[in-house]
Amino acid sequence: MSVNYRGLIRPGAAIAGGERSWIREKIFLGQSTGEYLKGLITPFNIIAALIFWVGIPVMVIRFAEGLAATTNLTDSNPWGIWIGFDMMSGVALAAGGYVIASAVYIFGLKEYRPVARAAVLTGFLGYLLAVIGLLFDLGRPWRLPYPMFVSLGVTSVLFLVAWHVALYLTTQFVEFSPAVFEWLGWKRWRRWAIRIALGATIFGVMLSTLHQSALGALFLLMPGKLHPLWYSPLIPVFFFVSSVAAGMSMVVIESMLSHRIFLNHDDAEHSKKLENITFGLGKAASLVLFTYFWLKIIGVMHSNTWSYIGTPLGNWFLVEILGFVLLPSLLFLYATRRRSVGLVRFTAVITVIGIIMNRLNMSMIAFRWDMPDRYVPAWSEILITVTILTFGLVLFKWIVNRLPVLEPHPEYGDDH
Amino acid sequence: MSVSRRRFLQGAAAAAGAVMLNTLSSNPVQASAVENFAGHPDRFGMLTDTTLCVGCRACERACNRANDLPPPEKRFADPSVFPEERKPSADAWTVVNQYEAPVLGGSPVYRKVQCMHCEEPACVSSCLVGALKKTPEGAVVYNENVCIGCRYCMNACPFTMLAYSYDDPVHPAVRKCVMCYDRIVKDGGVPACASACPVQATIFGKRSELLEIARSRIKNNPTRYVNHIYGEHEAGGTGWLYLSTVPFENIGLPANVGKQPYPEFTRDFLLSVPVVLVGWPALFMGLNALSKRREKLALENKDGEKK
Amino acid sequence: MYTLQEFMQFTKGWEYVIAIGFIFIFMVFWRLLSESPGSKKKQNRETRGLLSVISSVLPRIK
Repeated sequence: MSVNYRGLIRPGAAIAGGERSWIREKIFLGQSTGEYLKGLITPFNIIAALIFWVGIPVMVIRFAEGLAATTNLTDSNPWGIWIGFDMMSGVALAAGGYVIASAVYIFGLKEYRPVARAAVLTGFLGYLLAVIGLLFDLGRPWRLPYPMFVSLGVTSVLFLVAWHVALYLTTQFVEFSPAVFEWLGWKRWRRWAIRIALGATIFGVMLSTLHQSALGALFLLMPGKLHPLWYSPLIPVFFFVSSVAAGMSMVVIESMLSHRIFLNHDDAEHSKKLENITFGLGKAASLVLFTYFWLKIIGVMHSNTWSYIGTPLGNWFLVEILGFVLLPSLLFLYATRRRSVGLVRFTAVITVIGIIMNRLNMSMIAFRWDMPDRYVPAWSEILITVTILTFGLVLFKWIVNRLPVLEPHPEYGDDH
Repeated sequence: MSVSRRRFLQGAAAAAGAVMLNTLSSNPVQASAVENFAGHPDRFGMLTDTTLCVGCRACERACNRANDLPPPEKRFADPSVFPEERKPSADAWTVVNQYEAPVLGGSPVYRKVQCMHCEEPACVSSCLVGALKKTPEGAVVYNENVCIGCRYCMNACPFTMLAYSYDDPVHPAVRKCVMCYDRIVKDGGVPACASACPVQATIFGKRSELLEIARSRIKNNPTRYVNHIYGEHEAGGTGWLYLSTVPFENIGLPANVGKQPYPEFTRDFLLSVPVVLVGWPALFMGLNALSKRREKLALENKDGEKK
Repeated sequence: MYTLQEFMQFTKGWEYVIAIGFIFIFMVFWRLLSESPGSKKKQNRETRGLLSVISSVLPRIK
């Protein structure tokens, strides 16, 4: 078995030098400090550094001077892109974690195991970034634990979201921890983590069902503020079903990118496995999107809001459900029948764009659609969002380069 | 074997889907028919009779003083604020707006704008830390000490009456009329605005009594008033009641608020939480057991074939 | 209860407590169910311990 797994000392090799060697092995990928630092100069890292260079000061200003100085939020528009994009889109796109974990552990579809760890990692990081975004958005972010420990507002949907995101982050970390323990060589911890994997997965799916739909349920309380085509008692179902499609599409995209960027071999068997996984996900996503489309139609029927279709926002609604839900559903179907991996991947991108579009529609575009005072994000809000995203990508890269995420650890192999 | 598993999955999915769709789609009419909540007896309310208001803004000044709010950009006597339809803000918990009134031959109508102190407030139900509370006295009050600043309450309010002190980097907070709660809990206490009103356009009292007063005013003067007390049933009823000579939409009171208490809109979704927490483990453990059994059988078949 | 809010606070609070409590009970239940004769001794010991606790508590409830 080829070890293209960077920085791993083969079992049995002598480790000289103690502590410093651990850093060298685990952190510096087996290189000397000088070599490692030189190796850090890559195009991606340079761009990331530039983004941090500009973004971090703005982040500091956000906390030093407050929300008025760094956002366009108002009393009528209290939620902006930090909620609409960072929180809502971010959480939807992080759904790959629970989708793949369920496929492998609950439905017994072992063929998805190769992408499972990366999917769980993406899920964990996605939620982490959403929480970080929240820390910028909250008026008093140091009080984040309050709904958990200080004062419990049990009648609030947001109370649910808070609890579930907190619990789910923990669960995702537990699900991911075998990779961490393999990296650290902590065998007993690893065995414990693997034993509770099934329970953690089921717990994670429960939490995901609830908070994906809860994020949508937030809007149930605002019938007068959301455009009739988007407001429906079915919003929680819409959010949950679309998150499944979002998660599948993200796994397709992430697995393709990781394969190209981080794995430096042209193993035909590997690529074949990934292709099969991609087709499987494409088929499933096709079904899910198809279901989602018809649920949306039922929603419009239930509220009998057909008359809005002809209006400008009505047309935008059609763009969303026809161009970014029905179309990708059919494209996935076509691509899997014609065995075109490229088309599956392309369609996955369309799906992801569609999910983001839906979340932004719900929170900003169809929200308060008939009011004169609308919200447009400030450049500082966008910059902070981009900085948080970059941080997430840097973290992903760091972890994937060191931990057995994309490929099994040579010592432990695939045993679960 | 595979057929029965398929059937099980189909059945389970259909059942789960039906339950989920049923609980997730709100059926609020049923809910309110079963439980009827009278609200705290003897709770207070406020009545603003816009036919009496002259737009002097003494109530704004009184509110500003009573709550130690910063002085406004334009003085209270300055009528140049009127062309703009203002909303309460972090530093002005109530404002008086001027509206055109074609009925009265061009003379304007004035309306005092502030938190409606709903009977079943959307903001109270939306707060994840319970910072907003409907008191037995009827006032909806705010506890700055637990608020985390998520601002969901601001979105939840169908009247969009809550403001936030975005300017404050250290202790931003939600700001709104609290019906001078500290005053009204004491015997004989009256909110500052009602005390200050020179024409008694805004009065304070028990909500039940104010409704009687409003009804008798309409009865005794049917040409003067639109035959409706805004706030009697809107959003399930509000603590602040309005009388008007023009349709209420013309003085900025939303017509699309409905009669249902807003907390009912999310109540049925909240039910799905314990349902999922209880139902999903059984469902998924079952699926997992099925798939394990299937694996086991497949292995046994293979061994059988080899032999 | 005077208001819907108070009613919801009471019911939701208890619903969550019950649901979370259920999860623990469910785990015990599943453990008991998934046991087959001839399984590991440790599991049997645990089950026997649980059953003895339950059977000692039940008569006391009367």
